[in-house]
Amino acid sequence: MTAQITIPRLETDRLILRAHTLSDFPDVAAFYATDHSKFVGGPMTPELAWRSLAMEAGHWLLRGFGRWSIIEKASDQWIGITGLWYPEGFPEHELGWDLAEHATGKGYATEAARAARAYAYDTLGWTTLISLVAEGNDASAAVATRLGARPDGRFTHERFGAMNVYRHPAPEALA
Amino acid sequence: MAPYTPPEQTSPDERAARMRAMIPQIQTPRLTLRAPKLDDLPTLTAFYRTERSHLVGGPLDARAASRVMAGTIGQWALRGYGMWYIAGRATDEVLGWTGILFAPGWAEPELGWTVFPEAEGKGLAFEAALAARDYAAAHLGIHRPISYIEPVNTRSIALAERLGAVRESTGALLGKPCLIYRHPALDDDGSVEAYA
Repeated sequence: MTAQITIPRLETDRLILRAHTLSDFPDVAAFYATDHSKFVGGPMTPELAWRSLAMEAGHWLLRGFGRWSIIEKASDQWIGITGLWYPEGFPEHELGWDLAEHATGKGYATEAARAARAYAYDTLGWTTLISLVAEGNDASAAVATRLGARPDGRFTHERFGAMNVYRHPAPEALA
Repeated sequence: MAPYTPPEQTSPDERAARMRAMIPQIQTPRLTLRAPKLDDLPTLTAFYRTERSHLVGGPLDARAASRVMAGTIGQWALRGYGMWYIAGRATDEVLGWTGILFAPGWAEPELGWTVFPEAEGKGLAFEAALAARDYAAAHLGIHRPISYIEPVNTRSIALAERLGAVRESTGALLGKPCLIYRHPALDDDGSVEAYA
């Protein structure tokens, strides 16, 4: 039996955003295995990475929205995760992005997150979004800035530590 | 300013229906095995706050408990099977969980169970685990699951033996030594296969 929930598939010029599957696990575990994941809870063991992937899948069922795996069209490879996130303890609904190290530097995080944001605004009817960026995560802060988000306070995450809150432009400002 | 709350796209009823489509419900004489739901979080958190939860990864705070719940549901999405929450058939109050766990670090699919202290001593864990084991045999092709049990967990050892499982070996799970019990082979209808 597979999930009956419909997790939408989004497409951009270079990327596909789709539901996580079991076959993504090796890529997810590899992402969390190295220091590259230090701003988002890593590095962690495959066992904890499994819990993380299962939690991502469960978030869709509990909330009705969640995060997608990002697939690079050209290679058909898993390159990261983006989407809408609101677990217990988050201050607001968040747009997040995690990109595999080998996929950085190509504007993929911005392209993927923009599609996820458009889904939140245009399909779900949300009117604002934040992104939480860990202190020192300059690459992620740069993505937030490229997306037009601006600093809007601080938040202390119980596992990720001090984070800067970025507020995205409202839908009408993007129109 | 109050935090922004987006409009709900799906009603709680719709989400519950989707969850039921993925996680089948099982009725036993006294229990319902069902999908977790957000309303269970306070009870789950209360259990995870206690020292009693140390055999299953606790103590945990509310946020960590909610991650565990999401992970429980997520295994169903990823694997097509997982753990049910055990609820009182009349009250729908969550009393624990049982089902099949299979994650990195597990040698093979495991039949697991946890019942909160207030529900102990009534044979409810037995009733629930038996129903989950029958379901796994009938619908999942899992006929002789193992159960990992910490050596100090005498209640669980007694339950495994009551279920007809036998101690097969000792091993380790996530770095902790544990006993590995093997459940008897079951036919698809859940009855124990006759041995020649």
